[in-house]
Formats: sequence, structure tokens, C-alpha cells
Amino acid sequence: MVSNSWAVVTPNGDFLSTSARQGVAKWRELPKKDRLKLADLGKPNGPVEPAPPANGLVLKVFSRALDRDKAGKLAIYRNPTTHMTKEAQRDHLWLTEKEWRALVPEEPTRGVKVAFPAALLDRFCRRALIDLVRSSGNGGPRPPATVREQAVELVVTEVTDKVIRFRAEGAARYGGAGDSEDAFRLGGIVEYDRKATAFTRFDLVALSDAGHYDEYTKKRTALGIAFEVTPATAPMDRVRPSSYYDAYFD
Amino acid sequence: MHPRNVLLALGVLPVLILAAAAAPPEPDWKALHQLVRPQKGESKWTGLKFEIDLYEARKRAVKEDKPIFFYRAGGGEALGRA
Repeated sequence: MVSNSWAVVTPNGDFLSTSARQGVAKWRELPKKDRLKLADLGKPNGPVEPAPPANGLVLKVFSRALDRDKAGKLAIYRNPTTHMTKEAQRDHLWLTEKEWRALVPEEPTRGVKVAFPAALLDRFCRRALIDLVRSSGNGGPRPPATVREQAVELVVTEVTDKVIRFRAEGAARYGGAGDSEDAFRLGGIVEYDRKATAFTRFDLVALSDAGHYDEYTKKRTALGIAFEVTPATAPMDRVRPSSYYDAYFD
Repeated sequence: MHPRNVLLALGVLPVLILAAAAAPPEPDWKALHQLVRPQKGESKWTGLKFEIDLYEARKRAVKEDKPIFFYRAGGGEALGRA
């Protein structure tokens, strides 16, 4: 099985069908003793997928094309021709423990600002502020040479015994062909639980007024990219970021 | 005030007004976040209890007496982009 595909198979790797319904039907036709047998296929290779960094922070990333109505209000953009606009596209962003701890001010008081550390800033922007909605693919992280501006900081807005609340602010600009430019504004709310010593909310969102390119209409629309924290206990929340193998933490 | 300075101020004033008008309004970040993230009823497939470790999937399939629906994405939504 290669490329994008699926199949219904037995636990021991025998092909049943590419149809879920037919696959289940064929499964039920098998003798029960065979269905419940776990063949020895050799020693498991062990996890081939990388795991999030120990005690790190995992963010879900959602990317969606947006459009503006005549009043300028943003709404979800869907083109029936392209499946990528049917729902929010997904990725993950990983932070090491050292990186997320660096976002917690030692003396949190209202107005204190914390800038994203350089490596995190670059990863957050170049790897996540991309058009995941494009049907033909986005080519991965933005090349460093296209970076014109990248800045994200957290501003403390409230401090209690239990929580430090931040306002996120930021901007990013990337050069394109000719004089074209892809510009993002960022904002959102971040919360740090002081008792649990963990970020419990990381609701950042980035907006580019022309960040999505629809290959079918050959027009640009707005692009929204949202982040949120996940405890990453479910396997699908532990899937590696799409650009993980490209010197991810450097 | 010297007339020249008055003229200078008046000349600068339209530019400042135009600059303020051209700057896009600050989005409602909370509302925008809600708009971009999955909507209610969307992405129902995320409710499936996927495994990403094949050996774990095999053990669970035998335990639950079910076949494995094996899905490989190369640029698709479920498992990120290849």
C-alpha cells in the first residue's frame, strides 16, 4: 500500500478489503479462533514515530481559509471543488520544557512582557504560519530567506495565586515573488496554572488577509491559523509536526 | 504660532488621518480563534480512537475481535502532511 490509501486488514496483516463494510463482513466470516490469534511477526521495531519532548508542550494547529462578506466580516471559506476547505486542516507544534518554562516570567506582574525565545519564534512562525489549506501542498516551512519580520510576545494581563493570564501579540511578514508579501497579525489569550506549573490555555490565532491561494479560482482569500494546547494523551494528538524532520528544534 | 508651522501641521494632518483609516481594525481574537478551530459537528472522524503504533493496534484488534482499518496519509488531514 503506497501513497494516500486505506485498507481493512486482519491483525496479522492479511488483506480483507478497501471497503470498510466489506472488510468487516469478510472479517466476520473468518473462524473466531483465527480472528483472536496474534501471530508472532517478530520483535516489534519499537515506536517509529518520534514522541513529543519529555514534559514538553504540545499545541494543536488548525488552518482554515477565510473570506470576508461585503461588510468585511470574516467567515469560513469553502470551495466545494477542493476537499481541503471542507474542514480545518491540522498540524502540531512542539515546545520543549525549557522553551515553555522560558515563557513564564520570574516575577509576574501586570504589563510584563515575555518574548518568544529565538528558536521557538522561528519554529512557531516559519513552520506553522503556512497555508495548510492549499490542495497542491504548501511545500513545508517558509525558507529563512523569505523572513522579513517575526515577533511574538506574551503580555501579562492578570496575576492571581492560581493563574497568570497573558495577552499574545505578534506579527510576521514573508517575502514572495516580486514585491508580494504575506503578512500575519497574531493575538490571543494564554493562561498558566501556577499550582499545576503548566500552560492550560494557549489560544493564539494568526490572520493573513491574503494568506490562502485557491488553485481552482486562482484567487487569494484570508487565512486563519489557530493554536491550542492539548495534553496529548490520545495517540492522534501525539502525531509529529509535519515538518519535524527538518531540524525541528534548531 | 508661525504661519509656516500652521501650514506644516495642516499638511501633516491629512496624512495622519489617512494612515489611521488605512490601518486594519484589530480583530476580535477570541472570536477568530473560535472561527478557525473545528466547528461543532465538524471532523467527526477525530472521535475515532486511532492508534499510531501498529503493534498496539494489532493487540487491541485481537482483544476487541475487530479488523484493522489501516489508513496512510501523505498530505491528508488526519495525520499531518507528508
